[in-house]
Amino acid sequence: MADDKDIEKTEEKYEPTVYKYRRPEDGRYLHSDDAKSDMPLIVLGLGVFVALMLGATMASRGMGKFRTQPAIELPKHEKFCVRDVEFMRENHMKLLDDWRDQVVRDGVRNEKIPRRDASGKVMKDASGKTVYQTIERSLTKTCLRCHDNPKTFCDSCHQYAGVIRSGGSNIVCFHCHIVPNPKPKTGR
Amino acid sequence: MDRPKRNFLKIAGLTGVGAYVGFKGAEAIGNKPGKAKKKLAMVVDTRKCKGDCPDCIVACHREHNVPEEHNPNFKGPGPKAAQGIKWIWTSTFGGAFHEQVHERTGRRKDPLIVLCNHCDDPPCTRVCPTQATWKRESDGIVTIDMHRCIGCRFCMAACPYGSRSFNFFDPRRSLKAVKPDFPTRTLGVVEKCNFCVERVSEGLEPACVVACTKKALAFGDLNDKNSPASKALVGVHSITRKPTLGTGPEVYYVL
Amino acid sequence: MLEKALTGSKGYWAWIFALLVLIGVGGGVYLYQLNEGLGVTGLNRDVSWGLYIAQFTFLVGVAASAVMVVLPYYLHDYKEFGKVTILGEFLAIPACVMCMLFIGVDMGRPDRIVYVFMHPTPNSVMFWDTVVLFGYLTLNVVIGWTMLGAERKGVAPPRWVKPLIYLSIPWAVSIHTVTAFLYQGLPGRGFWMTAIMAPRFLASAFAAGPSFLILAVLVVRRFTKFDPGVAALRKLGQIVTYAMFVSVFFFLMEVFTVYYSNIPEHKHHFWYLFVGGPWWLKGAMWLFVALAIIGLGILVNPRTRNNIPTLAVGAGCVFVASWLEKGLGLIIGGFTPNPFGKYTVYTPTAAEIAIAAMVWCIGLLILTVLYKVATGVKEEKALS
Repeated sequence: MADDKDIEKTEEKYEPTVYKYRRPEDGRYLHSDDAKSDMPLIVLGLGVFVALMLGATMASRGMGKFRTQPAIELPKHEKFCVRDVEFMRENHMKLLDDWRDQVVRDGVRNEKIPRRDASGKVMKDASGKTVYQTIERSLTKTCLRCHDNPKTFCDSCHQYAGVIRSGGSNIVCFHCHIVPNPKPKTGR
Repeated sequence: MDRPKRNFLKIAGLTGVGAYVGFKGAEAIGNKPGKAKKKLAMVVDTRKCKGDCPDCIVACHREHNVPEEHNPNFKGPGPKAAQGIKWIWTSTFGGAFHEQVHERTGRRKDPLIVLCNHCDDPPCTRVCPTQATWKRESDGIVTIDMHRCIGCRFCMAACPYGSRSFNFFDPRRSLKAVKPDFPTRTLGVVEKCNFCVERVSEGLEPACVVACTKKALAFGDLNDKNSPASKALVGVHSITRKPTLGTGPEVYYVL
Repeated sequence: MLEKALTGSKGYWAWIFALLVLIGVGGGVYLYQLNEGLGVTGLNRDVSWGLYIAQFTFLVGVAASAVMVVLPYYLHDYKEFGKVTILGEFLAIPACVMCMLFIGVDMGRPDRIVYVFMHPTPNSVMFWDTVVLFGYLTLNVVIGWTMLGAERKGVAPPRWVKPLIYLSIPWAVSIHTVTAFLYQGLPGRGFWMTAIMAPRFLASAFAAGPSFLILAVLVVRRFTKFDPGVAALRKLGQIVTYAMFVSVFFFLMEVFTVYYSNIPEHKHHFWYLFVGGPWWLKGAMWLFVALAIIGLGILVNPRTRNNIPTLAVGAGCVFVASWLEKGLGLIIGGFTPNPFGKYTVYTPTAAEIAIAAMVWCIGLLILTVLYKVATGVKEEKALS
């Protein structure tokens, strides 16, 4: 009807809302017979929960081998790294992050580490003070100079420890930092 | 005064204090214009550079693994040239200085090389939400941390000179040869001329300056009056791009 | 209360299903964009922001417009808006979510979004935009859900909601002002470098948002038993009229400034939008002009403003006109011509449009669910 559409003349009586305290459950269902069973939703929710909890385990099954240590290929020409093995095992990722921030954000490219002789002992000069050498804090120029194949060194442990996405994608660093092999890998 | 209005005033007051502290903090954290210890600059001598040889461009792009401007390997849609990456390239005199030319300026159509100006007060670093780009205090180079850039491209909008490029594609698709010592970038980050920061920190000059066969480019610390850049600016008429914006560009063009 | 959204008519489920299908298709296209890069869009080095950011800019305005119903009701006791505030707040929520999604699909490295929070940068307007947008979304979710829940239980809302409501009023203004700051503080972009950018944003937001709300109220009246009341519709119509007048007035101010000063660099952006650009852009901009005139013509006359079918047409015209001007013209016009004076044409690709449609459908889905909950609760209260 035309009157319904014309809202200029329509007058409304506005009633202020009166709040009454009532039991909350009185308002939940109009008639208790109409209460619908929640069981299907509960089962669905439980299923989603189980899927989420087990998903990570299932996705990485087969990635680690329990009995054998991961086989890593050590550098052929250098015996000692910029830090000792124990430190590197625990902290290599933090070292790389620190180097990244120190070089890129603070602009300090070089650092001094103790010079070691062929047997790995720290060299000292005549007065007993440690002799230092300067190295560049660089993934490509320093780390990869010795560990020149990330696939046989980095990836093997990472896969064993399950810190790499399944599907064997490259460590993210090498999407940009170039592995000094004859053929550069394609990133992403 | 009733409760809700008092609460509102309390919150408003706290917000005001917080905003003041925030802005003061911003001044402390944010970029300070012109306080670099070194003031690295480049001088382009347009009497020697006619923009007709690609030596500086080729040297720069090869040194930094910049993919080809036209991306022939990508088979998808999109205007390929307009999505390319360039750190240094040729524009025209009228294009680079269009507020300083008139109809009868003879060299309006002459080629001219342009690059990031590494401004004293860069708008691009002011807007970056993650501090992925900033002006180095030690030498004034405006640099990008590729590990931090989220690819929002706010810096590209802020740059008044169009100096920044974005990786619309994976750059390795169209890179033919790589220089292994310098990383490539991934798709989705912004890049631009970095004044060869990796060379400068070893005491070398930028690749473009070294490659220029006409010796048209001078580079150096303007705070040192004996540097090549300082000497190149003595006794000549030089201009910068869009000087009225107050960005303080450090690339000078000798006319 | 979410269970209200799990029951509905065949039409309701058909609508939900259609939205889900479009979202799925768009999601696939987005995966394509993630793999190939943003090169699959029409964006380029010169026009580095396009359809996605334009939609974000427009939707921030729609989100902010909830204040237009919250302010009269809570601050000035305008009781006629009592039933429509929940619809306003529940419009702001999907608008905020769509804003965040549009930023997300536009980012080059969306996996690094947390860096904005890990490395806060107070001098960056975009950092503040993220903060205020998150805050506004949280505010509206908490306020809307609490008020609706209290109404359903038939109890007074808890006391702490009131200060949050008061906070949401300046916060709504702030989200759109900060978004305008993204543009008006950039030294190299003359099209945006105007102090009137933030006021223009607010005016067009207060025209577009309430006009969408009018249409939403009419849909709610048609499909549910909940009627927010014709007084609310009447007032919303007046608000849209005044806001659209101000918005058009501000636009005309820009046109005067540019053309009376006759500075070529400033004129070039307008010339590209209205004369020199691609046919679809020119068409969109002139359509904006036509729809603004028609919309204002309908809304100014009280007889057509207060007649529901014509009110709907007028509101629709205002909404589409604002979307065209802010959602397309503003961004493209700002980037073209580029800093060298060159015109690089930006044309959104099919992939870009599909992804944008996906985000719009996600927003509509959230809006549908929330409105179903709100109207379900109101219907239940009316029956009891």
